[in-house]
Amino acid sequence: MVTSWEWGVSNIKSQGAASEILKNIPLLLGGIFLIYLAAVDETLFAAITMGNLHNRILVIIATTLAAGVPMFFAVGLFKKSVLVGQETIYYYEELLKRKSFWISTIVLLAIITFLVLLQGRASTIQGIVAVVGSVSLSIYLVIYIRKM
Amino acid sequence: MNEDLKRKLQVLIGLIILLIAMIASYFSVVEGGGFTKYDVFLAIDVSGSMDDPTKLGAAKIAAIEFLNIVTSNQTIDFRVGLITFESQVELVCPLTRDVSPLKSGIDQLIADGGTAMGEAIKLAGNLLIQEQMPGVGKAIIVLTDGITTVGIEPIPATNDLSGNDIVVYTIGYGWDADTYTLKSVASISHGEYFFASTGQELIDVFSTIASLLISPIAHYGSRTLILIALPVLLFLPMIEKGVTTIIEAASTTILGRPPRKQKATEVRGEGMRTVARPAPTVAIERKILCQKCEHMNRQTATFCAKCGFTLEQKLQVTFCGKCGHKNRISAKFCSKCGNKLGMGGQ
Repeated sequence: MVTSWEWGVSNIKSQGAASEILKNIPLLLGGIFLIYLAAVDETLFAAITMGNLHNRILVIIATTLAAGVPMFFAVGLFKKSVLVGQETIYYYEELLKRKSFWISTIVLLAIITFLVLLQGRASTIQGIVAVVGSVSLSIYLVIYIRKM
Repeated sequence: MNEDLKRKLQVLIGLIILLIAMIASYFSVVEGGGFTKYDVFLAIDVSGSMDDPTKLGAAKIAAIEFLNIVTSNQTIDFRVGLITFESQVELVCPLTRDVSPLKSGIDQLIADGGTAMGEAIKLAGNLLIQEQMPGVGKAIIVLTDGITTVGIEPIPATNDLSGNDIVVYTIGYGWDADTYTLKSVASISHGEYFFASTGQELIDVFSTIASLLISPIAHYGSRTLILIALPVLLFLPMIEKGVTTIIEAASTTILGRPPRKQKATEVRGEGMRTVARPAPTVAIERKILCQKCEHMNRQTATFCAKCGFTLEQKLQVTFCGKCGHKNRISAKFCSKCGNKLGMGGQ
């Protein structure tokens, strides 16, 4: 039989867990958005190749950077939200503890926003998603950094 | 293994994974977006506003330059058609591999009337859909210097083509071109918008589009490899632990070997430090009991670590590995839980 004391303790625990999950939702959504940028968005790829698609090496470098850089930061956001406690490589773990990681994420989002506007894609659906997502995530990360 | 060396090794393995993904990406890139055949329609605006030798003349030169580039390409089989639009839309030349009728059609273009751009996209799209040839890339190149004045609007015309994998490249020639509509058409069809203000820029734009059709642009497959490689690289320790656990579990079940005794290793978690303890074993431990203070001393101790009593009469006891109960050395089973003593004993 569950006593009122045990019920109270379990209630407080579940409330704590729920608030922890809610706290991590923005980071999780940010991670999903960064995966979207890595997998679908053409902004970085177009900016690196600048329309020069003749050179295979350039295409591969552009592909690697366009997919790899947002993915690098996406892993960090997932690590801080749903993969808490899972171990990454030591140097990445150290990087996550520093503000510079989160500042770099904001810089990347600012670059993507700037490129979308520069490429004249702000009126397209993909452009709108990229700009709105980048600005929202940047604002949240600024708040997050201040709390660190 | 040295911890620092292990960390560096993890980075090295991670970089090797990334390099392998990049090499695989290199070979996964296919020229011409993966197509060995391409059907392309040139839709050229010949409305009254184009009635200027510098405009229409430059458009003719640029279109012929495009034909020269795509037909000289050896790897992709191009078929090109020509549509002109003013108030009416005209199919000047159907899809063909023969350059001569196309070039003569381009040479004979005369500008007059309104702009039925949407109708031109609709006609070109329908002709491409009618072909129904699998594995063939389909593209429409629309050149205009103004806004649609006649017929269906270009955006709904392009929307009607969605799902047929027809890419529309749009070119705004001069400052009067309807930039918004042209950008939207290109965006809807996953094409690209280009702007040209001079004849030379127009030739460059046509060359760029020809390059886009020929060049390696099928990079989505390779992007997937990078997307997989990077999390694998970063979560290498987690994967390593998972693999080790699976191997040990497999060796226990298949070969019947007991799991290897783990060392207590520190695990760096998020916001906490947890210690992974060794797996519990049923091994027994022998210690010497001080007869004065009953402190447990190591087997090798001569004096009690707590009270300094000389451990002359060493009384050896056996601890049960299961419940931790203290038993006499001669005991074969734990007096508390009945666990068999002596398994793995020293």
